[in-house]
Amino acid sequence: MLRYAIKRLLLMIPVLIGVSFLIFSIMDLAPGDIVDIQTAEEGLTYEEIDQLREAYGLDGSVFTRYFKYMVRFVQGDLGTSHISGRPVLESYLEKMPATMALASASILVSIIISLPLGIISAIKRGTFVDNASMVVTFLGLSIPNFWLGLMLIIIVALNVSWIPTGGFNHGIASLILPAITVGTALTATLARTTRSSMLDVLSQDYLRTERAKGHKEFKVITKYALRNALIPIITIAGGQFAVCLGGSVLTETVFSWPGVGRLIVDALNGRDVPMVVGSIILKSATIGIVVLIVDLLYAVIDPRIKTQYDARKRKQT
Amino acid sequence: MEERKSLHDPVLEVEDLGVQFILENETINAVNDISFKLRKGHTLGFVGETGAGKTTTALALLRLVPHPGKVESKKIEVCGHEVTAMTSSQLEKYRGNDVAMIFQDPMTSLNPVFTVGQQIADSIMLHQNVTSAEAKARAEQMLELVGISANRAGEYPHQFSGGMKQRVVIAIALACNPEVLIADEPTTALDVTIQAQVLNLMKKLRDDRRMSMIMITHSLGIVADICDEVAVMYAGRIVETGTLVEVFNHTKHPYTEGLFNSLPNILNRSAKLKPIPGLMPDPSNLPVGCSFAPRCKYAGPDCTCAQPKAHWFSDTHMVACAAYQREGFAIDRPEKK
Amino acid sequence: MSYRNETLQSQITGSKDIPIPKRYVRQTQTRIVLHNLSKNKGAMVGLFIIMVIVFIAIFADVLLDYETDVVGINISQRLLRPSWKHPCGTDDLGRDIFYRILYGARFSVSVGVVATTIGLGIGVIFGAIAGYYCGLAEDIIMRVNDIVSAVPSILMGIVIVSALGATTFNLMLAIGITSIPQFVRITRASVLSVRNQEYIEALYASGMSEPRIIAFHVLPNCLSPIIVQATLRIASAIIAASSLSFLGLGVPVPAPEWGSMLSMGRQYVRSASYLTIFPGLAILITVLSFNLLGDGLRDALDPKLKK
Repeated sequence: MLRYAIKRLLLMIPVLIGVSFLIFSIMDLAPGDIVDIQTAEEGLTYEEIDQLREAYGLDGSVFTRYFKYMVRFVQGDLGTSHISGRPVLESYLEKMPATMALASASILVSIIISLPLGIISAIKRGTFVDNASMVVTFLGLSIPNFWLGLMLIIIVALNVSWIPTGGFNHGIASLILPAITVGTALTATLARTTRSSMLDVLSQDYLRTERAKGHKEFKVITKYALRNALIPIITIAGGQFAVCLGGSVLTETVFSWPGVGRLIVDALNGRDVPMVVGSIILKSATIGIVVLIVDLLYAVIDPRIKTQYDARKRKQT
Repeated sequence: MEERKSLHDPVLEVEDLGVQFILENETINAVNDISFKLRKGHTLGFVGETGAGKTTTALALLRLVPHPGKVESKKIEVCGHEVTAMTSSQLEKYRGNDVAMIFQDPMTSLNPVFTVGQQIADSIMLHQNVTSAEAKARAEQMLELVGISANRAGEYPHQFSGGMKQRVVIAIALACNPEVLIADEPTTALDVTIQAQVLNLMKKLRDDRRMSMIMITHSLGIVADICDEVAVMYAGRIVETGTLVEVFNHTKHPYTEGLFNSLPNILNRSAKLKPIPGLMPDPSNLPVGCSFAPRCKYAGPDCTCAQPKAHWFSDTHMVACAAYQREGFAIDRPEKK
Repeated sequence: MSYRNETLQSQITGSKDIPIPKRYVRQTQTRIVLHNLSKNKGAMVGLFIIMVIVFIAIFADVLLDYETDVVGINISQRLLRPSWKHPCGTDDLGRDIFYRILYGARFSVSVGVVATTIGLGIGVIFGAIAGYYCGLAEDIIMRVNDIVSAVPSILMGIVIVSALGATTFNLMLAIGITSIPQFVRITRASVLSVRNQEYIEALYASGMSEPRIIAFHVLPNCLSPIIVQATLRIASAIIAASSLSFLGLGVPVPAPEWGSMLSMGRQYVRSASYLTIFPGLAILITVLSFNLLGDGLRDALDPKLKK
């Protein structure tokens, strides 16, 4: 298990290097850099421009600049923002609490709603309850979440005064609308996954064995069936949580949420290369680690997977 | 042994049991008006082809027929309780405790995410007033009883071979000392050598615990080995029932005859096998008359117009075949002494 | 529905080889799929709406005059509430929202289709190569795929569009690129399963060239999941396009892209909520239709894929 985890962590390194180079070179393709923006704003002389480019490390080819960046990166220095002049890591970590709070609230709410919904749909397959919940989840999947956020603002701003429609400074209440916005699509996906996964399990012979032992139907479903159905559910929920931890750009925009999604978009608009590349590396690393934790969780639920992890000599794809 | 011979105390009595599966565009008549009794300490064998309704009959006894299935019966009485009238809490006490079932495929009958020990102890905890430690100890005893070392109780089903899994399934079924054990093709999924081991184990446990047993199989060899009475099923009906000797040596029904003729004969190995021509009728579209008539070499016009009536050759030997209304009718299979 | 009956039957009878009803035997695969699909009410509704939207998109120029109806500014008519004359109201420059939504179908549909085609084209080629030729080619393709998919797609879209500039084509390109990894993965998986079939080996033994085997014998057998994925992908491409436009990174103003209409309406979210309600509904209905059709196709093409 431990060996498997370490191997997975090591495999993340080349991916992260690739990601950083990819972003670095796309940023390089962009017409205009931070110096151009400042030139436009302040009117600099050619000399000043050259000095600034050198100071920002914007001279030389992509490869030399990328190499320099990586050398510092390996030493633990993610660089400093060209705009604020503060270290990238510090700015990123500062935005994490807001993002973390939103991600946790959304995933929690969606699990609480979607698990029972999916299970009931699976048990009552083909009935009105099932059809209705599938229609609702379909809507949830198709709704653009920034529009949902705007609709919530329209409805809430007109009717309920104590729910804030933006910002992070009103405690739990300020989480309500953003969490519903992010959580709707999650709930829809999770409910559908739960339903299909439960349907698979419900047709298995071993549930008949459990019933023949004399277990209550409720226990058969919630203990013996659900535990088997959990793996796809956890995969999806974990993946979604990971993505949320990387920040939800649109929801953060709609609700003026001070999370990492906004941070990256603002950096992009300001052509703040170290901030963009650093943030995306941090974001991808967060996602990778959460996904790894989810994969390790499988082993706790399903003993067959643990055997696989332990036995696996080389990575199979 | 007194009790085993007694004819008058059935532990299980079924009258006019029918099971239908009602689907969107058709109705499948899986079991049609069957009646049988099982006496204390006896073993009743259900024989027939795949799809004859044997498993569905067994599931109906536990009220485990899957969803669109509709069960109708005059009487399903087990150990003095009417099964159809049970509330769900009575049903939970009844399943596993009074009647236990061994399922066909050991590969899929065990829950993959719980240890085998847990799965046996589970059943014990449910029906007996014991602590979890006691249940665990009992579970280990059960494993030893079916020939698996107790220290494997903490392992998961995927760590066991097929034969071992079937032993675990048997251990689960026997964990609460049921009055009646239903075994649904317990050896079909196993290798021949393992089959014999499992059968012998079941025979031994049955005799030690004086259980009554229903053995569902399509193998006449297993029936001959383990059963006292036999019911031959065809297209959801019992076409012939009687004691082992009556059915095997004094075969009366043309279908039973066909079953025997399709077995290879070790004394005459050059003889051609005589399979029964044709296929079993579609259970969603059964003929009005005898279901076997389309494949039966003795069939006459009297066979296709109405269901054949039961014809009793002795107190125990029943045949549902209209041909016996004809004067002097006999099938080709010779009677044996 | 026939699949359900079969599983049921096999549960009841315990038999896997149920005789296939005669009415299915003579039908071709395509007819069975169309038959299954036509029975799916949701998919049919989706298909109908898609046809209407595509019709509007194609004939938008005939139905409306771009200069006057769609982008023509008319300050005296600004911010009118929905009425018979303006069913969805007018925006802050006096343009009719309903007309703009109709014309906007053109952007959403074309971005959805073109972006998906880009992703599909590139993804299927690399996926097929990775699936058919094991070894180095597969390793490289799959590692690059890991890298591209490690960056969340909306972010990747933002990076590409903000780097290349906000034009309609760059938007299509950006969304297309972000959908490549999924097509690679799905194609590779089905090619892998088909490749090991014996009839492929037989073709190889008979001397057919490998590109030909892949194009004419492997890929056609992998179509089902790819078609389903493409349909669903159009839906998410439309959402992605409007998201990027909402952030000001898509189709440039004053073109009536639904997302940029939302972004504009956002300023009036409290006073003139109809500016945000209707363009969003348009996105929702379009996306929902593609999702319904994709889901129906999945069930129709392969009941076993049903998730």
